[in-house]
Amino acid sequence: MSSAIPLIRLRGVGKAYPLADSPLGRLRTIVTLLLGRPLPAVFQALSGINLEVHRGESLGLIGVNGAGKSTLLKTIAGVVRPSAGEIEINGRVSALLELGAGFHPEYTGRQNVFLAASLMGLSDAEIRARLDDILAFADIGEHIDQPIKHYSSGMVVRLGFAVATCVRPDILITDEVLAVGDESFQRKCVSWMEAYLRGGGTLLLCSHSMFHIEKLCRKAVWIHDGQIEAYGDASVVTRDYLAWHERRLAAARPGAQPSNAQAAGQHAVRKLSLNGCGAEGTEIGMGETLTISGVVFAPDGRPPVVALGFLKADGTPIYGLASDMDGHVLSAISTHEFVFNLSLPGLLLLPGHYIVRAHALDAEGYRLFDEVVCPLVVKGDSREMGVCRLPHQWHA
Amino acid sequence: MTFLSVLWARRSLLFGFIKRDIKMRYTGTLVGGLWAIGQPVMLLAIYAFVFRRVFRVELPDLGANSFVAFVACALWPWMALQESVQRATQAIASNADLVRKIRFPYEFLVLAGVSSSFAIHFTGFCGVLMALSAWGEPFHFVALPTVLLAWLSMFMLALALALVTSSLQVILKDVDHLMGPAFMLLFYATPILYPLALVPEVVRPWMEINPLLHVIEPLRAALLRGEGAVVSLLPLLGLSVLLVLAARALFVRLSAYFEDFL
Repeated sequence: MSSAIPLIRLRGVGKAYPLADSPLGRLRTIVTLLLGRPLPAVFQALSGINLEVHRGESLGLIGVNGAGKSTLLKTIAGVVRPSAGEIEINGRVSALLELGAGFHPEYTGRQNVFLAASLMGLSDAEIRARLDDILAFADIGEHIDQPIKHYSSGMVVRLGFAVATCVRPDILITDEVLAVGDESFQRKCVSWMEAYLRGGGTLLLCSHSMFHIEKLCRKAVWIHDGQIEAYGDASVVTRDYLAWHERRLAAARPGAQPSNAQAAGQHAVRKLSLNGCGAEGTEIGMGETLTISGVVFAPDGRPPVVALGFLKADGTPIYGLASDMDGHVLSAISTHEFVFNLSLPGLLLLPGHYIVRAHALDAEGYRLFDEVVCPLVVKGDSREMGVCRLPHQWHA
Repeated sequence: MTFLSVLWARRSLLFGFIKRDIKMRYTGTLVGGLWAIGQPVMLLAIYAFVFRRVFRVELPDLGANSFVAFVACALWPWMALQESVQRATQAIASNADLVRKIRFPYEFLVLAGVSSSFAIHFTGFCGVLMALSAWGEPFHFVALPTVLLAWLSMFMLALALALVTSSLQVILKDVDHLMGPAFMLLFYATPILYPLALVPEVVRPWMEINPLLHVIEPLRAALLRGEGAVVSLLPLLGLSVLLVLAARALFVRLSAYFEDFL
């Protein structure tokens, strides 16, 4: 499938940004640059990137914000000069680092199409030949002859992508362009990209949507802190990446801590424990009994409502309930403090990492004040899929 | 030469930039392009009033020509140079969005900025010459090739200067502030309001370092007296081409780092 010569080859590519904030530093920078010496005092945005992209082997870029994905794309697009390593490009590259970059607000849509397309390297004659297709794709009707400062952001983005569709590069670099625009526009873009891929195009796609990465890319690379964390089959890399996110979220939430709400004299969850364990959370075996208990502070002295929820480590809600739904009234242990005890016998969550979350509400259950979380690990062996076991029975 | 082939291959982009530059200057104005001619005409009127009516200056060697014609010959090329360099200095910084997102020959932005100013002021120059000669001012239009060559040299000098200032401006914002005083000095150091002949002998060699002098003087001599052959301007044109090449080399070297500083 992949031909011998890669479309893109990066060898040890690194990018360091100068941190010249003082005026004198800037003056020194000019002299350094003119003498062709490397810049001192730097922020390392990318380092040691080795990557090959072959024809038809579209690559997805994933990673958290600030990991260096955009810098990498800009480096390949030629906007950023790498400070280390080599880049070899064998083919026509077209980069969509931002839809609508190069548009002038005072220009009409039509005038902007001409300017943006000539920025992408098309001649006037080529643009005129493709104008109808571009306008049809953008689908903004008679507004095309209005200055684009009057456009909605969605219209600008549609026009921007429409211009890009008229260029048929060997490599199309896109940075988060699918995240903008409405549902039908996204679908249009994705179907255009699929057609482009079928036509032999190669895509370099940076996206936070794992769905798009898996749908459009064969390979994926996970960039973390300016380095390649993982490279491989798109579905494998995206799965690892998501798992890492879940772990990180779990680590970022240390659990039940006294919160600010309490200091302000508002309703607050003062204590939350799982099977007697506090902030550090607990581990239980699948099917065992979980007891959630805690103390809620109510400044008005009336019994408050407590809401409890189970979430996946990435924050996806699984199940939630509130004490007033079951008509349960919390019992007072002092004028302002009320306790709750909830047991869940035979917990059917599948093995994995979860979060238990508690909210304090006022006596009417109208207003929600506080949020306290506690990690929960369910252990056990199971090949079942999903988050929880549903009671079931097989029949003959 | 590779730059010329890039220039040709992507001429529609360059013309697009020039068109945009001219258009955007006068969008939303009532009289549009008249502003371009209004300012130099006003300056000319002020100089004529101050020097002729107040100081009662009599310039030697003017022949049948008036003081107004004498200043007009030099004022428009000067305005084109000053305005184009001052505007083009911001060409990269003010198009930061473009430069940070799209790869294209960034010098086009500077070239377009300089070209649009020159197009506007050259038009103004032609208009003023025609108006003055309709008024009865004797110009030597046979010297037109020399005049055109002088304008071309002026354009090249402006381009060289703008390539340097625009790329330095990205990194060091002082460049823009330096423009005002520097151009004021240069304006009086160039024989625009006075002929070189009136300058004391001791100072003259120093003034002749200024390349603008070698544009203005032949241009004026050609228009007012019909003197000066085209060849006399060729060394200057050669120099200005060399300056453009050197300036472009500096620009290209710095342009790799534009994204770092924008």
